[in-house]
Amino acid sequence: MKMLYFTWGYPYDKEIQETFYGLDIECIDIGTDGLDNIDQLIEIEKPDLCFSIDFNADLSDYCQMSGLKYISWVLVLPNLDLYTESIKNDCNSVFLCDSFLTKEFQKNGVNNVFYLPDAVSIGKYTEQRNEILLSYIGLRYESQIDNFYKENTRLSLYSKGYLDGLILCQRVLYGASILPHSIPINILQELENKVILPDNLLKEYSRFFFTDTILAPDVTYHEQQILDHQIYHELQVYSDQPIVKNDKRNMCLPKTQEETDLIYQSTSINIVIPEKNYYDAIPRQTLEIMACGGFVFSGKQKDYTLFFKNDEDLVYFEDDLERIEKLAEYQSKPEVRKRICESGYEKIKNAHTYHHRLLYMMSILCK
Amino acid sequence: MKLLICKWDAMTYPFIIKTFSEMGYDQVILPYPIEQMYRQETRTTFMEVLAKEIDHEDFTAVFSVNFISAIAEVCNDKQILYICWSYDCPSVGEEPRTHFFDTNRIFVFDSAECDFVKRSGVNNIWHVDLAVDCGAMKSVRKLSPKEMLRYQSEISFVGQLYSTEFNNLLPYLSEYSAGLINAVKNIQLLFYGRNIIKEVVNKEFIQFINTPEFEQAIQPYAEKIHVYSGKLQPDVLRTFLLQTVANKERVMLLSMLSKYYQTSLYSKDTNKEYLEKVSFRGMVDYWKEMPLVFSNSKVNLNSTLRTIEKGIPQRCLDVMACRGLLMTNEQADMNGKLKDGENVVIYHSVGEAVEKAGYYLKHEDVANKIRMNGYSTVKHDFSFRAKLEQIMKLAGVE
Repeated sequence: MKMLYFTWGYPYDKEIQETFYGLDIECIDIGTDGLDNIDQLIEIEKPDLCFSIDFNADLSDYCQMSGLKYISWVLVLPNLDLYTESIKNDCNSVFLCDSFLTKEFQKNGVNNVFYLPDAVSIGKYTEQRNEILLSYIGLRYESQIDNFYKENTRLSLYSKGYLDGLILCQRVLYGASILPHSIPINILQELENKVILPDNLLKEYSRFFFTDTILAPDVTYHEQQILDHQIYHELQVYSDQPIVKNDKRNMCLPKTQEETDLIYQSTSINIVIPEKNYYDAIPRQTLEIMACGGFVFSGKQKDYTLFFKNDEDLVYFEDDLERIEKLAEYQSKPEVRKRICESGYEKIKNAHTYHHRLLYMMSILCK
Repeated sequence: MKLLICKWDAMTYPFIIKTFSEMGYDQVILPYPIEQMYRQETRTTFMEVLAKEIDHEDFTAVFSVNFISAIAEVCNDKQILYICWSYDCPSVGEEPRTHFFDTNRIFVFDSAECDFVKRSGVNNIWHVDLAVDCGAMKSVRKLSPKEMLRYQSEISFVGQLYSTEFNNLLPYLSEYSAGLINAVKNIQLLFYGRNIIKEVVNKEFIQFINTPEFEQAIQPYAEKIHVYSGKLQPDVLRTFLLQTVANKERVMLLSMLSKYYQTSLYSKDTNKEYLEKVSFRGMVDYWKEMPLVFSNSKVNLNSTLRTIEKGIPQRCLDVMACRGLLMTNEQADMNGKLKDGENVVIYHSVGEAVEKAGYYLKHEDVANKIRMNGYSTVKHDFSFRAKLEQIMKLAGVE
């Protein structure tokens, strides 16, 4: 089988292409420059289908016009192209890493949307070295909402209060995605009237657009602020900008995947803050840590429950009190942590690699 | 074995005392007004009286309904067991240092409260459901025509709508605060088993509410709404918000149900807004009339106040003890004991409540089976005997 593989800089293209090769699928690279000549490329190469990580509306339209099947695996959220008219193209088979979003599209009658979580490559199991007690690796989030209000000063104070209230509630509700369906109709209409929306945005997804671009990042910002809490006083933070007030604990982002894996393996407890654009999805970072034999400590994401057992494969909490309790508990139990790391690693090895995912993808496509 | 019962006017005392007697306990009753056990000015006197009473005889334990810190202090001082079974929720609040005494044996009916208090390091606390005395609920008798008009309905709800004084203050909230509060209220409405308001409404939150205009507006209502410092405090706001959530929920339920079925409300509330089709029948006496409502209504509604996060409320047990058909929101502590379609009817949304009410009104034979199963369940598993035996065993007395 031959596939046009659209590349835009996704860091794991190489692993995915290698996996496709292992399934006897030849990948022909096409970048954004190549889109203008896609007809020629299709004429010459005669591919069976086109593939991209994340859904690309232009690519979908090109494939629709050319009569070529278009497969996308959406792994990086937000993916705003999903909310455009192109999502309805018949040529699409869209695999989404988030079950919440998948159900949303299916509810709206978008066919050929399937749930497929992210995956990782897996190496040999390495035991935790426990050199660092707590680590967090992640880009720093800024609060978007104040800037948003400044730019859109005609938004009523009531609406601002309401949206801030939603953010506060979502922050404490681990494992339940209340945004975007909680935005009331009147506030949504006000947002639609006062904010310049992308031309091709489908109206039925405008609440997702506002959630993805304004509300969800703010929830993540607030969650990061908790890293200053007393319970994290030994936390090392690896980020592009300082997050915690105690500057001694702020470190730079690791430069390579190897450096990142080393941090995961050296750390007793790896903190994961699922970004709220990933409504129910399993964060990639969780899978990476488990694949390294590392210990995951995360706010609950609903999709965790589909594949993993809490306190056996990884550890997640559902409220702030449970966070405090469990963090204290697991810091003092190295043997239990070791068992969890081993179990988590085995789970990844047996069911969450690229090979498993792409096999599943092909099985769906061949039905 | 002898118990010292600190008795105030909680309605469960007669059943507790009767049951302890049946279990073979000797009892000395110390009646005392509850306010005097709490108030700073009278607390010390109460503690002296209690201490004297304890010294008077050889007691196995002291017992009270609800956790009362003054009693805990005296018992700790005297090194005598203090057993308390909470009827309210939350109930283990004031004077946190007294929660940790080794002499305490605290029993609460909301497992969420139990877990919460345990997390703070209190060991001697357990979850035990409330109880009901089926014999006391004299519900089955022939009604006169006048009584039929008063007590018969397709759907009944006995309880407050919780229209609070806080509603009078809503117009004085800033636009921003109004939005903030409405968001939190509306999200709480979506969630049972989780007190989001408690988690979100904190000192930072209250700063947005206490604007100068609002502080001025609340002064005339200060005493009624328990504002003593000029500013609304988080705990007071939480209570109001939970009450407004209960209000909204109950109004929504009654409004929708009354669109399709004959629905009666037994309450002191008189505000008919959104409830034009509901028959307002005033308050009912707990012992003489409420059982008649439950047994003569085809469906009895319960909508749990959110301060009770997981526990089974007394109302649910009362309905079932009267052989009434209970239709209720789900509470986590029902798990395994009260099952939808078996001994109770459970709804998860207003829409589902309307649908199920319609079904059980049409299928009386099925409804009757659930009624009888419900009665049997509470008679055997929620009797005072069953619960007090559980309590005394856990307390280490039996």
